[in-house]
Amino acid sequence: MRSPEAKAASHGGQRLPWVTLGLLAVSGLLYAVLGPAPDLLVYDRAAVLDGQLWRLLTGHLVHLDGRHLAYNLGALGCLGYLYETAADGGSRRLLAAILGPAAIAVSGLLLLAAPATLFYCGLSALLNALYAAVAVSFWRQSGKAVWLLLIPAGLAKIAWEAMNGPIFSSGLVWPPHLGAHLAGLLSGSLYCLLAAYSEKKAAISSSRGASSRSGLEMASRRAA
Amino acid sequence: MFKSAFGMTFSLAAALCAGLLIAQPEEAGAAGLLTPAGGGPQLDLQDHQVSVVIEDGYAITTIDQVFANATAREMEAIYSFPVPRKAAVSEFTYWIDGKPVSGEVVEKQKAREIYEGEKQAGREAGLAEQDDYRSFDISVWPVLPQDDVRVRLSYIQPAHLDTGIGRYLYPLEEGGVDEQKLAFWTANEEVSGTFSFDLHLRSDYVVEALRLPEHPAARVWQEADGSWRVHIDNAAAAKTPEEGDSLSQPAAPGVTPISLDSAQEEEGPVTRSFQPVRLDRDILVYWRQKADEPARVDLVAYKAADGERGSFMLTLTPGMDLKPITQGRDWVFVLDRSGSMGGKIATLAEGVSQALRKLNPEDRFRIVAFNDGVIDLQSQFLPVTDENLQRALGELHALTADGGTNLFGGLQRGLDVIDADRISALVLVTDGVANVGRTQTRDFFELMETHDVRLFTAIMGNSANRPLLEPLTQAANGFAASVSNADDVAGLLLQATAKVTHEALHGLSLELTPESGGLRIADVRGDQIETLYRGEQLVLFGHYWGEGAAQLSLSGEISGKPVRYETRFDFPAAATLNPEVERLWGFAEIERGLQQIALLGDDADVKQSVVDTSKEYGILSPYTSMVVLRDERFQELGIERNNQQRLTKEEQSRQKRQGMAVTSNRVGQSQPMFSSPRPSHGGGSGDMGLIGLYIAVTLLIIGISLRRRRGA
Repeated sequence: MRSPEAKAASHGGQRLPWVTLGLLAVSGLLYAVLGPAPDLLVYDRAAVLDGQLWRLLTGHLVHLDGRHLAYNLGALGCLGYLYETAADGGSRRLLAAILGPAAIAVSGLLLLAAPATLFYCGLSALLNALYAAVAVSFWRQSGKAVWLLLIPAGLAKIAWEAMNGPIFSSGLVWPPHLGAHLAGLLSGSLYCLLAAYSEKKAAISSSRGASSRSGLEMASRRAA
Repeated sequence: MFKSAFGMTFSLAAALCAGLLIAQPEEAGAAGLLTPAGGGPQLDLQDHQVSVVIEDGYAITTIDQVFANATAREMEAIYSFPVPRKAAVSEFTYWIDGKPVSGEVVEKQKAREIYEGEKQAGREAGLAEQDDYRSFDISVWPVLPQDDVRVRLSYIQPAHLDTGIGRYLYPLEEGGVDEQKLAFWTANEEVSGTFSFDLHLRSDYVVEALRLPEHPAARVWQEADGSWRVHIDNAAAAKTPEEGDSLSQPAAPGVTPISLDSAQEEEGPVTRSFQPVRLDRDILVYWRQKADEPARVDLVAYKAADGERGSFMLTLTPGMDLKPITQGRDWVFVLDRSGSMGGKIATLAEGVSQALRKLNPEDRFRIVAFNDGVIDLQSQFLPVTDENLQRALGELHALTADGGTNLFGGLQRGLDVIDADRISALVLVTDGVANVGRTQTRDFFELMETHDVRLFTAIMGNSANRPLLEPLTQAANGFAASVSNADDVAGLLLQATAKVTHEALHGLSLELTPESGGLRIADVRGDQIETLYRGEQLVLFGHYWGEGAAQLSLSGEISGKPVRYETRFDFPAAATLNPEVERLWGFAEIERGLQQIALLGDDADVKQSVVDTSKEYGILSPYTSMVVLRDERFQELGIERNNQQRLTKEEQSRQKRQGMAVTSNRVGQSQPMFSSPRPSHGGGSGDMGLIGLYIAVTLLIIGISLRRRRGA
């Protein structure tokens, strides 16, 4: 099976990061049209429990102010491009394996384990998942496990913020939600590490299978 | 769709307030040294140093100033600045012969006569007066040619929290509501020498963040003891020209200073330079408590060991089970477009536009604007459609500010158009200086009493008629939000949206009852609140005699269901750390008297009571002033030095507190009053922040270089 990178190459160039571009466009457009933290789209615990389930998704796409939006979209542009165009990444994987599960993990955490969080908005919990995915991707690309230290570094940043307050607060009363950041980082790390492990395992068993097949062939040739 | 129309009320008020902040006013007046209009020599506002200590539920602000006279003749310094909210001016000190002499409170007319008499006699004198709700004015005589004078002013004000957020405002922007004053005086609002603002926040609550939205370059740090400090100044270090280097660029106002130690100063290789600062921008500080702080009751008491009567400040931070509610309604916006709103009209239009955009499609709206007269921008309630909104927005932005302020007429029109069959809310945006039509406070109260409508008020600027607007809004069971141009849009939104989706406690009743004969409690004062919204604190002041346990109960109705919260705690036999509580009680008593006068008209007994309280507690009021004389003149004029003694006592306690760890004032822990936690804003954001962006960019660069290496 060809790698996505190889597929891209066969089509005459690098893939465009459609999911990243799409998310940038949607988030930017929502802010431009509906303004900061639109009431209809933010995660509002009471409204979600009342059946307005779209907020579980849309809450991640809306922002508190221009600065909040700019930093998040800037980070999305960088990390999204890296992962979506990486050999072990891709658009489908970014959406279905990184951002989707992270959104479920973060929203689930907010709903089930953070009853005091009445409102939430912003993309960065998902970006934490993407950050972990990029760290694993660097490891896989370079073969150097040192890149995996980015994950505990991310955890350390969250821990430091938990002890000392956020390094930078975007808005006064909706401070960065460290629980959501943690959920995003863990969800991204977990998926990517498991995926890397299972792919490696599959690669080993397939190489073992290949070598045992060639051994059998040699034996049968000898027998013949 | 919105969860509730009631919540929508707050949401709109919040959006309105936020919008009010988005557009900057065209021009802002400022605190400053006054000179008669038409020219003439001006004094120099040389130094302006502000020190704020916030602890135990109140803030003490001290302003040290130096006025310099570069002219060849004696001059009088008159410094004017906006009245901070609920500020009890407790100290006015004037350095005479190099020694500080603190002022004493005297009846206003008498104080003015004494001051003028001293001035004519060529003796040093100072006078601090309150011009109603508009400004504090300090006069100092004489500022000798080529000389300077030093004065200090201190005031105390409660520093309470809303939904876990504290807000401290050092007001500097003058509201421009006093046309006569503006016509007569020009203000020199530029500090030519040192300007500094220092704030120290000490709290036994865990404060996890502190922020100055309009002063991002302010130096903010947390001490090892958990307290927070803020520093702003206009100092910059510069090499002396003799050193051969060119002078460094001076720091912009509010920029983190370059500190100089004394050794450097003595050696002289470095000198300070100061960027002139204009006192035209409020300094606003927010702080945020940790989200999971419990609901609680705090008692700050003062009772001298040998004293009979103690004073107390009781602060309730409720944790009530307030559920979301749902309903729809009509909105009437009543907008002030008088001349005094001149610098704020664009802000107003933007704020209302923001609010209109947040309306629910099922809601209806109508806008009334007033100056000398009243106009309806719409002839009837309009459904919220794109077309109607666009038309309304166009009309709003075409509003101009001129004429007088017929606040009564505007409010009456707003109430008249209400459809009795629909649930309605009235949003009033004004600086509240009524000067056309009916202007008596009691007329406003009577008007509101005739209508069953909730009033929400956005009070604009520092010189707004808060003594009218705040009680009026309370009487209509709404809430009033003060709006400074320095306020944080997101912060203000969140202040109000914290109340958005929840019920409130109505018909509030508070009882504080001694459990035994060893304790007596009386003179309980505080805000006359009948409705307590989510996140609001309740503050009471009172006197007590003796010691022992008391029962505190808070009762009312939440959505028609009666509720009652109770606790018990002890009043101490002696408590000497917070003598300022006495002044806070005095201020609450004065406020009560002033409100009575505003409602019922001039009453000699009430007025005398205000004067007596003001003199006893050393607090400035509209009927009293603080006068500073040479020491011997106090004696000759028979003015007792009560305030001087009080200041000495307060200073000693302050020093004692500073040397101690922060103490908890929490009481009733054996029988907590509330079982639900204190509400927090409950908002969280996914925010990568600048650090996150840096990391992402770095990873992008690394990623691209990794790929290039692999490609090579």
